[in-house]
Amino acid sequence: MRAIEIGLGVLIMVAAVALAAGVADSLLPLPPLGFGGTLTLIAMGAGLVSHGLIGHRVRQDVVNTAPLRVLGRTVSTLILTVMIVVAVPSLVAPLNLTQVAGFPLGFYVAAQGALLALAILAFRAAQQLDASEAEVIEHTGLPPTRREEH
Amino acid sequence: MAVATPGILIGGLDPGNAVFVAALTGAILLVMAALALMAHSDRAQNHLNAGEDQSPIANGLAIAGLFALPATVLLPGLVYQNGFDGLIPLIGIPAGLIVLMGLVGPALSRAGVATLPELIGLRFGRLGRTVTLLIAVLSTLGLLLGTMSAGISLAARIFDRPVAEAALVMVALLLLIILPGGLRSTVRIGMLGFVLSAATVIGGLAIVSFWLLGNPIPQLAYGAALKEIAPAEISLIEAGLVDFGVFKPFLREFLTVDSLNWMLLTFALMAGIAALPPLVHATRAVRRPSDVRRGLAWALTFCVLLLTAIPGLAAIARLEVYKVVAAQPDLSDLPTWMQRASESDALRVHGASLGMADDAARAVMSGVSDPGGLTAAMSARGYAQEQVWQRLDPVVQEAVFAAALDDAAAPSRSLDARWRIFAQRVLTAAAQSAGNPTGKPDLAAISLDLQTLVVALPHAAGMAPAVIALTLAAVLGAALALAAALISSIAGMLAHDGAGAVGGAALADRDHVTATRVFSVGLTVLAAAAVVFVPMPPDVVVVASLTLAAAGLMPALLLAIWWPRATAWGWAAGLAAGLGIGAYYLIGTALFSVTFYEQWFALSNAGPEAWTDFEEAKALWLAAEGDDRAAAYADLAARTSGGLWSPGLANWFGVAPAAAAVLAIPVALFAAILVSLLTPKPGPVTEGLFQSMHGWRPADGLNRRDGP
Repeated sequence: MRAIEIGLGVLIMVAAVALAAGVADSLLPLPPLGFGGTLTLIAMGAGLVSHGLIGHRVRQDVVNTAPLRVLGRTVSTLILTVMIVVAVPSLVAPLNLTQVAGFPLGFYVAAQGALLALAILAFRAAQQLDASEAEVIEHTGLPPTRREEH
Repeated sequence: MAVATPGILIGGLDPGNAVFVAALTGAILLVMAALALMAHSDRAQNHLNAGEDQSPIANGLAIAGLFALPATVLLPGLVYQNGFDGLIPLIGIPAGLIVLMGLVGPALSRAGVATLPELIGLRFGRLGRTVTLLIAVLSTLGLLLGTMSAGISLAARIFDRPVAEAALVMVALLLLIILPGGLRSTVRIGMLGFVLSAATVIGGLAIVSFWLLGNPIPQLAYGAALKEIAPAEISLIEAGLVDFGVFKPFLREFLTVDSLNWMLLTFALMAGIAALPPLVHATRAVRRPSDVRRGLAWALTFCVLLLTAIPGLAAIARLEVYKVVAAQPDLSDLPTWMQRASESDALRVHGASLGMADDAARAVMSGVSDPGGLTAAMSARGYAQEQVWQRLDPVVQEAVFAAALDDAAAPSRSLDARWRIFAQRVLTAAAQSAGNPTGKPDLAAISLDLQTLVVALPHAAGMAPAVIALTLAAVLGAALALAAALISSIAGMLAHDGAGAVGGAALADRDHVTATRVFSVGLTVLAAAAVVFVPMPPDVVVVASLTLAAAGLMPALLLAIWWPRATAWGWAAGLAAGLGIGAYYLIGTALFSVTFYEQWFALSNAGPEAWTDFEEAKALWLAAEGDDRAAAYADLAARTSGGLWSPGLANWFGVAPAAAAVLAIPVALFAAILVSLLTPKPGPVTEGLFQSMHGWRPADGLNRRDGP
């Protein structure tokens, strides 16, 4: 599984760079991605690679890597947020070719879809980060901070 | 055409309804003031952080209330005018709240500090606290001036009073809200303000959406409007009714900003929001770090509920304007909704409105006897209204005065009669002055006042007076809530961190509250005076404030919370570098664009051909003399400077001036990291503080460097 994750991540990053350089136009029938689209794909690939490399160690050594998991979940939340911000202007032109209930899809994503995604992301991130920090406290054996006591 | 009833934005109602609307609006505002009084407290904690006992949902509602004014006054007009490009804040605001949730909020709570400067002071010493206090106050002050400007201007137009009077009333209401409980009072108003704003915007839009599109859920319904917009625009273009100098297709992306700056402006807004002191301090109204995250998640959700309605309002307004123009009625036969909107001064035809004419009539009945006197009367309405009047051709101003004289001699009440006289006298002159001989409107002839789309909607749509009153109260309440929060935040920081940074020790509770109240009074009065007597472009002030917050505070927060190796020297180097780059870019591209482009043309995205054209224009300037030289320099400046949102030739990598923070933050972090690595490591105290902020050790073990 680790190998698949890392391999897929590398493949995505290479494809993004190749598309940006115009090398793989005949192999990958995609519209030009632009700066934002390329950045999005590279970020996705890097995320897969790092999860494949580090995730295994984090899962094995739960106690000592608890703070790393908190940091990882914070960073992944922020990367997802950045990806949403980058993806909207990058993909609006091809998405607008499709209409849903009268909405050009690109306009809909910018006006509602991205906002709903951010709202879901916020609750999910709050839940995951709270759980991760509870693990830190549980595994390090430290008493809760003054804030958690009340 | 005389209107005896008060209020431009409630003018045209019969006297009974107008008094009812004014009374209901005033009553709702007094209820808000009463809620603020009920939150009275003499505890410093309540004035500074609203008390630490809010639930996450209540905290979310209070934080969302801080965005109610932008959502009802600023954003609808932005989306109406710019279409897709106006959606940047709709994504930037929620994304900024996520950054605040992930990077800042919980750490502040765990560190046990009350304010942002106090946190920086813990890590980087008293100098850090003092300088951060200065930056935090300045950035918040800029937003305060923009907010007060919007609130006072609206109040003056709603109740038809001079700006100075409206400012006095606003000062009185603000002090009534702030003095009892500081931020604790303010968040209660914010919660009510948000509920009212959301109810009136979504409710009003639901009614209009049901009438026009057959679906009462505006977020779902306006797809039908979007489907008709593009064909309507094509029809107008084919009929020659479009001025391409001002027309922007609603659905077309990247007309105002390119895709790169769409992203960068969103990032800059995110960074500014995540570091904004009033928002950061508002998160401290809950007790636990986990509640901070949930409170911000709820705030984001409430904001999304309101923000998703805004494009619907803009789309429906655009489509209805297109339909009227396409039908090509005579100016005297414009539909009733346009006549009502013009009566509220929310819609202008060739720059003139029925509301302006009614205002002129009231001025004549008060004793004005020449057009010059009308100019003074319009000036008393505020800078924006004065500008609208000054832009009118003198022939049109004369026509308005002549119509006002007629009206004073023989007043009539019905909207239809008033509109016909206004169209015959004023609009005919305005159309001729604008080069429109047909007497029928083209698209450029009709302009909506971008700040009053929400406020004017109920009256334009013919809704009940109670709905009009609720909408007016919601928008005024939102302005009061935001202004109060900004004032409370600044006053609280001055009392808390001013004493801590300058005196080295915290004030006693009672002294702290007294100092906060004194600062609040001073700030409120000074801000109102500045707005009344100093004309300022609100968009520039807001952009400068957010840039200052992003460039000056965000890097410091990131270093303080997330990198234990950061030293005070590193923080100082980062601050100097970040603020320096941000200020240089913002000022250089706006005020010294010719010199900026000469120095940095290699980094500009304009390309070598643009440089060649510039060199030729510069040669012309150097060879010119007298007036020709000034004109030639103006041509050079016009080529090199762009707008806030889209750069001219003078730029680095095509970055818009309003996105200067995106350049400043990486430079600040780089400088801070470099200098931190070159200076001695912080001691174990800092390591302990770092672990406390992330919940990895008890806060009891905290050994503070600075402050109480």
